[in-house]
Amino acid sequence: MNNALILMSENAIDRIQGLGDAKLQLSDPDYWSSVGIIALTGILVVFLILAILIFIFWLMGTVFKVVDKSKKARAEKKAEAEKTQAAAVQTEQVEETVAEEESGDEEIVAVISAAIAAYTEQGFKIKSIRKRSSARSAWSAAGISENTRPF
Amino acid sequence: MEIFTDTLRSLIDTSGFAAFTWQNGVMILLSFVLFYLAIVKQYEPLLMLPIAFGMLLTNIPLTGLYTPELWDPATNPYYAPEYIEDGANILVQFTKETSLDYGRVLHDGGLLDMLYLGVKLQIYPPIIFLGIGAMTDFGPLIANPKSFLLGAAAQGGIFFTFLGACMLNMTGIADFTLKEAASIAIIGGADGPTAIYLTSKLAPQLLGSIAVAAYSYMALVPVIQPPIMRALTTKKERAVKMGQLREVSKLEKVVFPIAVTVIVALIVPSAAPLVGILMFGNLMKESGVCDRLVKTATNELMNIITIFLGVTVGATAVADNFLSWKTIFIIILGLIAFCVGTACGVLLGKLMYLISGKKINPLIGSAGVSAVPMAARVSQKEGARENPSNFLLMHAMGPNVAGVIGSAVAAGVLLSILG
Repeated sequence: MNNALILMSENAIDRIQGLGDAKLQLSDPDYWSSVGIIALTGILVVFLILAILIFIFWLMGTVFKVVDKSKKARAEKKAEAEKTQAAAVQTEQVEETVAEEESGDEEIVAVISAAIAAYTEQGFKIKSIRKRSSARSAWSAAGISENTRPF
Repeated sequence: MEIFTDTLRSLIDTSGFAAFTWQNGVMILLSFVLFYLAIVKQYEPLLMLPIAFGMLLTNIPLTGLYTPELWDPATNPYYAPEYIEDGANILVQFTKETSLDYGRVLHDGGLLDMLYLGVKLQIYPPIIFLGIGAMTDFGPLIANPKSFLLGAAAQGGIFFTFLGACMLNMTGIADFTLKEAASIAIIGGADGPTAIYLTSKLAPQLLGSIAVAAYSYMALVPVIQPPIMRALTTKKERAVKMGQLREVSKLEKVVFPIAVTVIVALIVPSAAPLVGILMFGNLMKESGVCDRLVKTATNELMNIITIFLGVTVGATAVADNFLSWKTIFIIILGLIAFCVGTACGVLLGKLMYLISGKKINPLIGSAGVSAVPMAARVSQKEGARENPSNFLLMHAMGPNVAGVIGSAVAAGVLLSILG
């Protein structure tokens, strides 16, 4: 039933188009229904397609998040292994920033130690990791606002 | 002496002055206005200047650079033979050709006629899209796929204007056919190549005025949008800060163009020349293996095509087509399309603000009209006005690039229904 309706209206659109002249088109009894159908199908199809894309990329996003997490977990293990290795070498004690680990966030510790290991290529020992005050300095804030200012 | 005066007279007769009409004069003055807009006001000068110059050239009589008659199928003088078998005899019947005769264009056309083939055969707009694709980072859209909705909402302006143009018909002051109404409406997509692509297929006689209107309004986005955005949102909504977007991996960026092409081209095949080539350009960029091609697509190729496109689109603005009430209506309807598109985007942004628990700033909705990256910058600027530490630019880029896909899909839909 619905299909028949759509088919009928499509024929009407074809017919109205064939008239070529706007005045003739306007005199066709199906004119307004055709105009309405064109506008409605247009906006619906645009929404439909973009909704499908949302779904697909949302799906893709979640899949990638899961993959990322497992990757991160692997990287973390690796980093930890490196850290213990590096700590064991202890040929030289590189003084790294700061006092006691407060948050207990092992992931961050792993990442930082991996970074230091990659950078120094020597044995080192991390004594502490401390957060800096998080506020942006006036200069860096000015720099960011300068670079992102639109006009 | 007589020979001298004769020569002089024939020289005067073959000069432009002999065939000069007041319509030519008006069109040339109009091209001066566009020069002013392009050079002094810098309204999209890369396109406005070639358009204005094309308009100037085409309205100087007898230059033969652009010949409108060649592009009008109704003036095709040829009759095609048709062979009908009738028993032992073969009858020949001649029917008048009603399609465009490209042979005639190649034979009789001038320089701009030749270049106009690229518009008529739908070559230039997709190539511009190739360059746009190779310059666009779809990362913000991939990180926040909900932006697609805003990109779709802003296309509401197109379909509203389509209805509006048809309603104007009812009043009797304008007479737009369905195809013309659709071509005018696409101005609301705020995407020059898309507008030119659709118009050259559906209503080539309006190409000049629609291109001028589309590019002027795109240049005026920072003037048109802010009042609408402010009127539709509260201070509190505008000050909403949005969280940082997640990192998007390279694999996702590579999969994106392929997936979009497959889905869009399967559902609306007529959008494939625009969306497909846009995504092709993007894949070249994101794959990272065709740097040389990307360089060409975004620089030389795009510049060459921009010159050809601008000057030929300008050349279609001959007095017969341009100096009519239709142009005035196109300019008014185009503005309405832009405003309604912006409003639809902001309103859906408001809805998402409410649904998301006040996490989405409705200002990013207005960026759903394509006009990359101008519309996103407007969102950023308006957000920063309420709260100087608010950075909406990347969030607004999502709807912005979604708007490009949205308006190309809208053009595809209109083309498949009316084409």
